[in-house]
Amino acid sequence: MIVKRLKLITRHGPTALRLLVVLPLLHFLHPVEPRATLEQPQRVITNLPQLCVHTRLIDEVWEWKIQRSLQLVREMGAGTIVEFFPWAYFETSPGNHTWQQADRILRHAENQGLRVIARMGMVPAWARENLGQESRNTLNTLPREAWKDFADFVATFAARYQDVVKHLIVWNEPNLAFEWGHAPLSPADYVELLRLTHDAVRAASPQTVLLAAGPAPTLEPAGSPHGMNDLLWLEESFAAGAADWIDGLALHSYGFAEGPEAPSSSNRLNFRRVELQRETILRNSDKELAYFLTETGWNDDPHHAQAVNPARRIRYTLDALRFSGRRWPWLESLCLWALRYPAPSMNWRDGYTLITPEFLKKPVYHAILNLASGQGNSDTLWLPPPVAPA
Amino acid sequence: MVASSRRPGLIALGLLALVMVATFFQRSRLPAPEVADLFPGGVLRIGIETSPSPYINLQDGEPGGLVIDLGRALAGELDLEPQFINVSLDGRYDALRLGIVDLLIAVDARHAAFQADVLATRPWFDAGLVLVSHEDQALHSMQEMAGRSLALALGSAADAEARRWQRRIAAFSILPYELPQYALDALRFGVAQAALVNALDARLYLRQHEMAVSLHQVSEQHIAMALLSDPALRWRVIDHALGRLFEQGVVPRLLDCWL
Repeated sequence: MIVKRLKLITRHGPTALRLLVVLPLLHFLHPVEPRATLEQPQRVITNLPQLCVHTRLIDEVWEWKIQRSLQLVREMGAGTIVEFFPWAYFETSPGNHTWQQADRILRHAENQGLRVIARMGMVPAWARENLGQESRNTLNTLPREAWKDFADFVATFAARYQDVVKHLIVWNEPNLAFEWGHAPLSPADYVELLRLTHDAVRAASPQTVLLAAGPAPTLEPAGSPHGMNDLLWLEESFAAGAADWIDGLALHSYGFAEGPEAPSSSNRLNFRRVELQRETILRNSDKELAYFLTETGWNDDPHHAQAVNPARRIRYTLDALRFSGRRWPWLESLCLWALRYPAPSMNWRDGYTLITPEFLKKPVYHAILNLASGQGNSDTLWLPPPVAPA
Repeated sequence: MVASSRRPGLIALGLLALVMVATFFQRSRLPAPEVADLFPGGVLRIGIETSPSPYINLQDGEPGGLVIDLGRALAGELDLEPQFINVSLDGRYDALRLGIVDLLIAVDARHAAFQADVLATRPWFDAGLVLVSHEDQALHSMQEMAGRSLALALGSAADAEARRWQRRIAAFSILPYELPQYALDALRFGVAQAALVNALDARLYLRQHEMAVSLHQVSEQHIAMALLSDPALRWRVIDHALGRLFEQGVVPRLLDCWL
C-alpha cells in the first residue's frame, strides 16, 4: 500500500512542482487594457453653447477611461471642459518636462471636438526646497523665488499646446489659505504672479487667453486666517492692476441650498453671486473681459450641510442652464463641477458628480443631455405628491 | 530507490507538507484573544458621525439611536465600557489611523474596501434598494416590472437602477416623485404597482404606515463596522462579537426597534 502511494506521489511529483511554479505566476497576469484608438474627429452638437463641465482626468490611470469620459462629455452636449494640469506632474525637476499625461488627455479632447480650458497650479517639490524642512508648506505653497519658474512653466505649456488649449487659468481660488499654501493672503501678490505669467505667456504664445483664477465664494470675515471674502478679493486685486495682465476671469459660484433664480446679496452665497462678482469687477475696471463660470453646481449628498435632494438638483441644474443662457449673455461658459472622479471620494464630494467612477450615468446626466439635445424633459420633472383616494 | 527524475517532486511535496505543519503549529500557538490587551483601559472607543445620518438621533444634543444602542451592545458583549467619539465624515478613516477611535460603527463596506489598511466586519444592515409591492400582488424581481408602473424618487439611486432595467426588459412606466416617501405613498394609494426605494426609507415609512407589503432586495449597500487591519486580532474579536449579537437576536431586534 505504502509502495503504491509512493509510486503515485513520484509519478505526479514533477507535475505538482510545475504547478507550484506556474500558479504563483498566474497571480501576476492582468487583463489587457482596452485600446483607446482615436475615432473619426467628432464635433459637439448642442442647444446649449455655454455648457461646459469640469473633468478630473489628470489622475486617471487608464487611457480608455479618459477617452470614455470625453465621449460622454460630447454626447451630453458640452462643448468645453476645464481640466487641471499640475505643474508638479509635468516638471519633476527644473527644466525637465514629461508631457505624456497631458498629451493623451488633449489628444482625446481634440478628437471629441472639445475646447479645453487648462487650470494651472500645484508646486513641485524642487520649487519648495528653499523653504527648508522646518517651514510648513503644502503642494500649493509657491515661494516668491519660484514665481518666475511657475510663469515659465505656464508659458512652456501654452506654447506646446497653443493649437489645442486657448485658455489658461492661473492658479485656483487664491483667496483661500488652503489654495494659497497657507501663505498670507494678498491680492497684490497674486496680481504680481499674474504679471509674471502674463509676460512669459505673451512671449511664448501671444494668442493664449489668460484667465485670472476665480476666488472661492466665501463670507469669511475680515482678518480670517482661512480666507478672504471673494468680493473684497476682486476689489483689491483690480485695484492692484489685475486687469492689465488678464483677458478674462474664471469665476466660481455654487448654488448651495437655493435655486438658481434666488437673488444675490453680499451676505449670502448662491448661484447668482457671480453677478455680484462681475459687478465688482465692472466697478473697478473699464477693460472688456471674458467671463467663464468654471465651477458651479448643486450637491445631492445628504451628508453635505447645504445639499438638496436629487430631484431638486436636477431641476436647479436645468434651470441654471436656461437662466444663464437667457440672462447672462456676457458669460462664455458655465462649467458644472464635476463630470466624474477617477475613484469615489467616499464623502459628500461624490454628490457633485454626473457620472460614477464606474461610468454609471446619474439621472442628472440624462436630464442635461435631454436639454442640450432638444429632446426635452418632462415639464414638471416630477409628479405632485399622490393623494389618498376619496 | 526513487528514480532521480522524481526526486524534485518528492522534495517539493515534502517542503509543502513541512510548511503546512509549521503553519498549523504556529496558529495553534497564537494566544487566545485577550480583550483587555486589545482595548487598553477596558474602553471601546467607537467612532460615530453626528452629521446628518440615518443611524443616529440627536436628543437634546446627546447622540442616541441605532448605532448608539448597537455600540453599547457590542461593548457589553466584550465587557468593555463604550465611549462614543464624534468623527467627521471626511476624517473618519484618519481617526482610525491616528488611534482616536478603535472602530467606526457605521460605514459603507464598499468604501472601507478602498482603504488599504482597513477591514470591514460582517455587515449589520443592508441599505440597498428594495422593490416594494403589495403582499397580495407581490413582485419578486425587477423582471416582473414589465408592463407595470414603478414609483421612485427622481434623480435617486433608484431612478438610475430603474433606467438600467428599462433597457433590459419589456417596457414599464416610471412615476417620478420628488421624495421616496411620495413614491411609497403612490404604492399605498394604488397609483403605482410598486415602489423602488432604499431599504432605510422603506423601513422608516413602513413603521408609520400599516401596509402588508412584499420586499425584494434589488441591490446591496452593506453597512458594517470598520477597524484597522493591524492588529488583525482586534478585528477578529469585534467581528466575532458582532456575530454573537446576531446569533442572540440583538441586531435584528435593534433594527426593528429603530428602523
